[in-house]
Amino acid sequence: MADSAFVTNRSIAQPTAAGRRARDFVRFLRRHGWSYLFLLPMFLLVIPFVIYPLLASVQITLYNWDGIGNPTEYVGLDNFARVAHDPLFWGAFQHTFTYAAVLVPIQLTLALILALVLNNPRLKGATIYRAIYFSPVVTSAALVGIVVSLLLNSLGTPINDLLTHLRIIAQPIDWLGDPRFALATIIAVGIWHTLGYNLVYFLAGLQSIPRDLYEAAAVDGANVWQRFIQITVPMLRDVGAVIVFLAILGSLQVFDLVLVMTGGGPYYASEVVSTYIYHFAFTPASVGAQANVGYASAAALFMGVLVMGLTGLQLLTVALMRRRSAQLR
Amino acid sequence: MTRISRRSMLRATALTAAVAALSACGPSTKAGQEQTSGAAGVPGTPGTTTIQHWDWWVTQGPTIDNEIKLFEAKNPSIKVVKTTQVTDQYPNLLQLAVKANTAPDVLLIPSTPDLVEQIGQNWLKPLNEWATDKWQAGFPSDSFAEGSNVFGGKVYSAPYDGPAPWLQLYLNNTVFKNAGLVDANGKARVPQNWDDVRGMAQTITKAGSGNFFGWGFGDKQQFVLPWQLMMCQRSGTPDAQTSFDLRTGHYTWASNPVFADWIKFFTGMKSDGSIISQAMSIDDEQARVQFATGKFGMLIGGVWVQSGWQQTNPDFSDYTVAALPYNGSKPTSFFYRTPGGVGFGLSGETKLGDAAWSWFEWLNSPDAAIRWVQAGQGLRVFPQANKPDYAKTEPYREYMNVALNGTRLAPAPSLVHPTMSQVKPQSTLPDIQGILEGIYTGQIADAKSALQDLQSRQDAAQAAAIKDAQSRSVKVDPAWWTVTDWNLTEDYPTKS
Repeated sequence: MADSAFVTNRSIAQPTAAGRRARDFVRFLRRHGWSYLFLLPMFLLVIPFVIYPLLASVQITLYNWDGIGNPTEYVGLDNFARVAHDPLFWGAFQHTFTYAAVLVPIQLTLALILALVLNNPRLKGATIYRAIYFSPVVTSAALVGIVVSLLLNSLGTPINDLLTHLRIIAQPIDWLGDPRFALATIIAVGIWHTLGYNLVYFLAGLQSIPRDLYEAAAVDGANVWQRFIQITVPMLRDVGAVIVFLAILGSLQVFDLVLVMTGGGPYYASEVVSTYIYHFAFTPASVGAQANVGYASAAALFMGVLVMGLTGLQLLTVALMRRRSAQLR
Repeated sequence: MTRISRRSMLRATALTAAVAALSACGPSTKAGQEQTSGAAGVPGTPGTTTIQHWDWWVTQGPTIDNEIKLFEAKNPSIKVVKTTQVTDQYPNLLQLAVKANTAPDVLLIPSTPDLVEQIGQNWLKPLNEWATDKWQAGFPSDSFAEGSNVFGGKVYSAPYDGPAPWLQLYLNNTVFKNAGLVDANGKARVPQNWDDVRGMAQTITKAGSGNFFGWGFGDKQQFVLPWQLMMCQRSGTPDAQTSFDLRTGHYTWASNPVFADWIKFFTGMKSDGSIISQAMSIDDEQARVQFATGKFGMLIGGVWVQSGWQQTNPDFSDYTVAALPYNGSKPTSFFYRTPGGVGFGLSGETKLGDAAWSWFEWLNSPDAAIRWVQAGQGLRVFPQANKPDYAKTEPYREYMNVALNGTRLAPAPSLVHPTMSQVKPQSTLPDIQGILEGIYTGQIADAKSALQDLQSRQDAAQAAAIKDAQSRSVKVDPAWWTVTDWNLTEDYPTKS
């Protein structure tokens, strides 16, 4: 009897499709709600400080505007046309990609090597070394730029003195004032400054590789190089792709180091897109002229579209690699 | 997660948010707010009015601080809180402050955007309520001019600086002595023209053997190379900063040979090895310290470098101040000034007009001007303040002698035709700063073509700006930019 009553009750209480969806949603919230709650503050900040300025700047690109009052001089797509035809913009574009193309491989190689060394369980003081290599990351780029500038070009020029003493160079070099060396010097500082990020990422990736694989390979007679090629590299492929893309995206947005160390000079030899945009938006180009925030916004939108394109490529690549990994399993 | 821990977390979050909200509520420093606390949080007497003062003066800072002290002693009910802002960000910071209703009560007026736009955006308050005819009569006769500091009959500022060349040549006497470049009295020989400069720079560099050089500058901040170009100012161009020549109504980078001559002279000094090697990567302040410590013998700078050395190198006083050298056998042009002038102003937002005016009036008084000159900060608009007897050091007396006869009155068509201010040429890059960098570093091989290109671009931008203004129904005539009867060696009174 109780069973039939139970069955009867159940037949009366059959949920509707909407009711099922509502229940599923409540279950979902119960399981993941706190995650979304913790993400909410950041999401709320991104809207006014990232999304809104991005959309607002699209409107500004259609005006010549010096940043004072409201934009009134409508020029349509003229700013984009001027950006596209400006050799200084394309020079800055080239320098930005040169910065990324040189920095990323060198830095990631160094970071991987250091991560492999620090991943050795027999290494004493690994935590201290990790802190030392990560410390430049937590130092302000502007501060790094100022200190390096002082070391390279100020009173006494200690680096030049050392290099001439060691007979590596014959005459002192103006590292930041010579167009042949300015960008290369900034790249070198950039490699050192953010090396710690990629070191930590690689280290995390290495530590997720099961030790059993290495032990089994060692038993099978594989040497160090073979274990690296056959185990480490394949196992790091997924996280490595993410690291590469993050490194590329980060280096494409270089700004502080360039602005502090050279200001984009001499004669645009180290100008990157970020400093190009900054100079047009905030600094009058010449005596008696006005800043042009509309033009700067057009250049920024160019760069933003490119960076978003690269981000999309990163997401696609990672998704493809995950699908392939799943298929292989 | 249990109910109890969730409740604790919510309580903790609410508490944190409340503390954050409370800590965000602090004392406001809006312009025009009457406060009972004094400057810098020091409790003051009830009824004290606090006014905010903004400028970008670093080396002049101690002099202004002294004026604040004297002013507050005479006006105990008014406190002045000074903020020194970063020079090249000052207009942006001021704009943000105006938008946020936190603009200062008294502000040093920036040169950009132009005054018409600043007035249009309510950055500045008309001073007519206080700047009576009697007060204005205390200034020299051409101090207030429609289109300069008066617009539509409303006074917005008063001239602060006196008529003086804003750059001079500084010689390190010790370096000159070490190179044997002294006269019979043991004083450094002053170069008169560019040939003298190049020869002396070579002599000093040879004597230095790598320890000191003839010439130096610091262009890291990318505005000092044009100061070197200002050596053209006494060599037949009315405006070595922009090359715009009112006699022709055009830019003259290529058409006036003085600029190409200067490039040949200056790059020649570089190839002689006479200029310090780090000139492009140190800033002007570092260069001044290197000059003071004897790393090179000649430097171009303004009067502000003297008070700067009092702070950075207080033991350094053995230097000579001279006029900028010219090309050829005699100077053929001068530094120029126009009627009017702009210094400080009152914020359009200030609610403490009377108190702000009191401080403004104090700053612009003959007595404060005399103290300014005595402090070695340069000439002031009041002739009675510009007596060489007020100089406390020999270099400053030399500066005053150079400055007092170094300017002439230039034509000022914008004062006759105020609508000229609505013509705003688009910035065009590379500008003269960039081109000078490129020529100096060798990145630009053909200087003549680069100057011609710049001249053409700037002329085109000017013509386009005039056309654009006319299309907006602004009454402007291209002929207003040409004053054919201007003699560069004489004063040119503004004709209405």
